[in-house]
Amino acid sequence: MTVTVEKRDIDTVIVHGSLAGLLAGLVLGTTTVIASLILTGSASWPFRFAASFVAGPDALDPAFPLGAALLLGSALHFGLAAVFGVVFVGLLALTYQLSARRWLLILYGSLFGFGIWEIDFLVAVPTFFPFLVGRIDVATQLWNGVLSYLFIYGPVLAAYVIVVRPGVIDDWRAVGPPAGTFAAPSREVRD
Amino acid sequence: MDNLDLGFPLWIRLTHFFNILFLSLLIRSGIEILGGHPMLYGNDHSTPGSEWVRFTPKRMPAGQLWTAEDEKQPYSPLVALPGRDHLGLGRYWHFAALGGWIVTGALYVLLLFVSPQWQRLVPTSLDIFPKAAEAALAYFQLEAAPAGDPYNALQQLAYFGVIFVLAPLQIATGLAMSPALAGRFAWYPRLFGGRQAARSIHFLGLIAFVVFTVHHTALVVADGLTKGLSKIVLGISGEPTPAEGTVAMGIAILAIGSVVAIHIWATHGSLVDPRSMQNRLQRLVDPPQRLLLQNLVSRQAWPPDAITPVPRPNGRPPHDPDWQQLASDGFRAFTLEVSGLVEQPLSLSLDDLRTLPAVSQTTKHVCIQGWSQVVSWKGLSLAVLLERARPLPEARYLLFRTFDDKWEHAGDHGYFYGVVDLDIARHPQSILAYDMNGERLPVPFGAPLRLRLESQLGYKMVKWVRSVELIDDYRTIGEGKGGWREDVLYYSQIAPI
Repeated sequence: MTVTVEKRDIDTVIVHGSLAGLLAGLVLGTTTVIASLILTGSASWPFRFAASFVAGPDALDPAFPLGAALLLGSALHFGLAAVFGVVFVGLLALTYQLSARRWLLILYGSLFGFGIWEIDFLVAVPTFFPFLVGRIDVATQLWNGVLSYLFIYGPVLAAYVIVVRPGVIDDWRAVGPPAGTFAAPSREVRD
Repeated sequence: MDNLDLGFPLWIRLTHFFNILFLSLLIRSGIEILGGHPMLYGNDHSTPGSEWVRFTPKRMPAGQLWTAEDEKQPYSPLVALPGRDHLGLGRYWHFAALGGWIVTGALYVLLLFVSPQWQRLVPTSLDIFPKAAEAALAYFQLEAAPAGDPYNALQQLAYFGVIFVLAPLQIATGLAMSPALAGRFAWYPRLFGGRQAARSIHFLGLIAFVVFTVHHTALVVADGLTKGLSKIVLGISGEPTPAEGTVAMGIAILAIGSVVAIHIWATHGSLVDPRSMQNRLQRLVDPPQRLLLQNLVSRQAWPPDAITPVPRPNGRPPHDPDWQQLASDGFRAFTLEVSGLVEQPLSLSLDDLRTLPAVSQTTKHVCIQGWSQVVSWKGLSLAVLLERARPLPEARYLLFRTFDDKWEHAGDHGYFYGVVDLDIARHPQSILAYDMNGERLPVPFGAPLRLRLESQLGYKMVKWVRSVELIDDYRTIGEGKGGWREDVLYYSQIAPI
């Protein structure tokens, strides 16, 4: 007799998670390149930074082919963005949050973005890419690091969910007061 | 505080282990309790649709009779203890683990302050804040964790906050959910913005503990797992030798394994043989509750404007033919029988009950599931009823039998009944209500008569009352646990929190 308002469906999670991740990755990547240009005078730095995950410290060298850095960096960036998007939508589906309030989804997105930054920059970089430690100035790290994940990548992921509402099949706020609450017993109530 | 060499004495290592055990039990049983009413509110009316967060994929239908029972959401035993909609046992586990956690925490804090170890955690200067900012900046620059003595300022603030702010806040907000405490001291839940706000803060505290645990573990791993384990397992402050590292790792695996084994035993035991687990846990949990909370007397008096606009019903009207016959005639033929260990058995019609001195009260109903609402009641004081029936000296409990055949519940568990301590029945706000919010008691709320015990959780307040019997022991009635929900759903016979 209850109304189901959202469903868990692996296809929905993968498709919409990927799309949300790619969209958020595009916005994050664009703002990162612009911010890098403003802060360091180099638009290619973010691509070289990402490419170095695959190609090693050589990718940071200006001698490293720019085309390869663009290709490698973009592929890695969008690949990870899509994967993290699937994780985000998957977590929402697991905890029945696909139909959550808008402000709550934005908060989830921001916290998720912050968590991704922590994993990427505080765990993965020092552990697996120690050559990157000390290569980023504070302003770049603050903006292209924590703030952009907190305020761009995560919230854009959330915005996608808010607009598309994947897996949501009804409005949970459409609940009515229980009928018959103050009525004398009727046949319908008894049966 | 320079060059402190505090080390990790045995008591720190042991309390750390027991903290892991009890905190993990608290978190899983807390998730079970959340499933009882998987919505969190900022208002004490728990108005459907006003929740700020919900952990369920369903909503109640419009235009049909639904009850709070329909709103429950069973969670998997992988995350909840025990899982699969066992609110009663989840609560037992929560309170049992809470006892262990409080004892562990109290010992830890006591030993912390009778030893130099307090310097590990307690900031002694406001410098802690700029230093914490410096540490945060170092993290932002991808530098290694700033060295501390023994912790850097950010770590010290985090540990201090968890132990001296978050943990007490969890206990305080947990207590704010007790109807006995809130009934006696109405100001207490207001400290947190009300009962539902306290419940929300309690939940956010759970999330904070989980987030802290993940970060704490990740930082230990990032800083060197073997080194960290050597500290917390063997108490070695410096770099461990390879042999020490191996021993520490082995003991840590055994310790974590034992925690996992206890969780598996608790979950499996609760699901496979819930009665035995209920018996074990109630011996542990009920006595302290009885001692601390059960005897608090409700003094609630909410103003009319605090009344919940649309109250929630719980439980479906009976199918019992006698009740249906009575209901079809507006309960004019209903009589309440009072019998058992009394000098003067009574048989009272609704009109008789209405001629006796009435009590009116506006009180907050607190359901075991988690929701609450404020309702105005009018009815007969149980104290007056008892005065007329004159209980014999050996009478200890009131047995309320009902018309509620629990037709909606799978399996044949007999009619709903409830057992109430005689002391609770004599409280001034313990009444048999026949009016609700200025109208005759509606059917979904228990017409013609229902019990109100304002220091107890809602499930003790029997609806569709048929008779009252005074008894000296309830162990021979039903499954012997003191009520239908106690028998079938493994709830506790006392319900002050």
